[in-house]
Amino acid sequence: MARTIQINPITRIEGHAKISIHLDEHGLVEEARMHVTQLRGFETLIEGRPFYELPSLMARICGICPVSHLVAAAKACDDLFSVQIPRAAILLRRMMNLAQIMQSHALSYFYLSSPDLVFGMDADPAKRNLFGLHAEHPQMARDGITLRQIGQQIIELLGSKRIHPAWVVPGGVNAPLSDEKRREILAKLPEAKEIILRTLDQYKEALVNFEPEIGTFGNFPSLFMGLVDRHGNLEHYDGRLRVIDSAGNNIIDQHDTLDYASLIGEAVEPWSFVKFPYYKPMGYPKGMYRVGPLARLNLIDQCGTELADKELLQFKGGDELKMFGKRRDDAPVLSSFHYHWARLIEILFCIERIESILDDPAVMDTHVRAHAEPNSFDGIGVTEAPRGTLVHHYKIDQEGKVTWSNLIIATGHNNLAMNRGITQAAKTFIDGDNIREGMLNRVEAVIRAFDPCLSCSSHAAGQMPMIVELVDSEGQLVRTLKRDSTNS
Amino acid sequence: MPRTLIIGYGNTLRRDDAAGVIAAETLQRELEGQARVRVVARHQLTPELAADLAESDRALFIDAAAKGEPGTISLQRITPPPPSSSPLEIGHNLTPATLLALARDIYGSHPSTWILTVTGRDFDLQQGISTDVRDALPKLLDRARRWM
Repeated sequence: MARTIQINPITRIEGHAKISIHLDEHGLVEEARMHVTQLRGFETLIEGRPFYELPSLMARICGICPVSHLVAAAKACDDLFSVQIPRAAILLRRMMNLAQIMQSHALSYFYLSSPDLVFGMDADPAKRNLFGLHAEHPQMARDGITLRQIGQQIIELLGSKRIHPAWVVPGGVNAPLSDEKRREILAKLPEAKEIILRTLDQYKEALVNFEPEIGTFGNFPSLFMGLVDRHGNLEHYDGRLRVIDSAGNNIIDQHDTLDYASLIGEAVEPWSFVKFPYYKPMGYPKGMYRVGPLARLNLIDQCGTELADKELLQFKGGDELKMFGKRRDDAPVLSSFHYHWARLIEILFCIERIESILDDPAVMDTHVRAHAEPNSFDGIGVTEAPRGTLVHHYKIDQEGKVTWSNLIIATGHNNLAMNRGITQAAKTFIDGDNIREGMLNRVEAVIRAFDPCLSCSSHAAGQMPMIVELVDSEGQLVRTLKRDSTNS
Repeated sequence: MPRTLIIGYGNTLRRDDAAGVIAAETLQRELEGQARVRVVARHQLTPELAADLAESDRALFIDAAAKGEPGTISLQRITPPPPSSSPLEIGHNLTPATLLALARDIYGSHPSTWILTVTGRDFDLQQGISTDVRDALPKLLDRARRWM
């Protein structure tokens, strides 16, 4: 008889995950759980703060995707103002968000996941890092650094800071784009495009080596949710919500983001500090859905840029996927392994979209900020962060101080699916009495495919600090495998 | 004329951990317009800095130290670990030495590098540095200027 396993929270600065794997009386895997035992507490921290501080405060949630929180917070403040911000400000915010997605995806793919994809899941852990990658594939290691650097440089050129730029403000941005900066950004894009096209080719060539992983790394039917524009194009800054089912049918489309609460419920479990959002009409936990690059590419009609759309055609219906049993070109890609592929296509899209924004004369307009006082006590900002749909919702009082807030971040949206994903992988790869490093790495790699930002601030390349506990049907701990930041 | 890179880093929301960033921002203002010296302030060390290091002849990291008497200033030479040493982690825990190794391995060169630290007293979740570090900042900056 299975028993509840008590896991004590571990207070650490970086994000840490803990996985428990439950065995039945026959020693077979029954369930696996990823425990996130770290509390962010930002929803409470900002209570009582003046609303105009929110963008810069919320950017502090994360050192990897600060721009996403900054943009979502600023949009929520625009909603408090109840104003339409200048078009140039929208374009500039959009461009910064795209640069953010580009650099974050590059970090995820090159720094965190590519060693697995290049060396294989059973490779020597000593090789599975950027140094190992460089030793055998120096061009790829350089490409990763350069691509992320370009994304960071675009953010820095726009906001004067890479990590916590204060350029995005309620009502718009605080400075227009100069012609010099525009030219500087444009000059960086051809190299970025060259790198990502080369990387896409390498990825597609490597797919044939990962058939078992593609089949079992979070490969199951689920809903997918994300933003689309009014034409069904890929959208990261504005747009409306679309939800599709696992057959590709739109079950919700062009849904106003301000009404997110009618679609998303949030459940809690005693074993994790990360909430478990679910699609409200289907209830918990049946309403499991996925967000992020895989979901976004699954639910759009097209990307809306030339090269990304060519890649999307292959992604949705190419021979690579048919090799793994996908039968219909328009059906969603169900394996979470392909988050990696989707991430690369999104990088290409971001580069193309930044190019088109810079070609739009409106981006040079010097009117970039609307000034107003709060005209509403309730403000909602929804964007697409690198890992998925990001919701910031604030309520303020007469003095403009925050009285309540709700944040739904991508890692939370994917929480149900990540847990299901590691259970699927554990059932496939774990031999109850013989745990090998390759198994540990496969379970870790499932989580890595989702690129979770645990407590929205943590990544550790190749060696996510992790404890795997094997528990028998009596609840007795059979074995613990521990991997910390020193690889001990 | 040698190319010099100064990297001040730390978390400005963790009290004395902000020392490196404060020092870098002060030096940025002082050195504005000097083409041969580049000063950057960073929340954390990231692999992209390896490319900047590889293009420099000399480098100085400025950071807060957690051990020792609060307010103590230290300047030490650092070198990358030998290529044959154990694998180096690339994540949030990137160290200056790891970055130098990355610059050497990926870009083929790394600068002569030092790390300048001031020992902090308080690394709690709060803005604002302690009196010990505030009092030591002029000395820290003076040491950085003399290093240049």
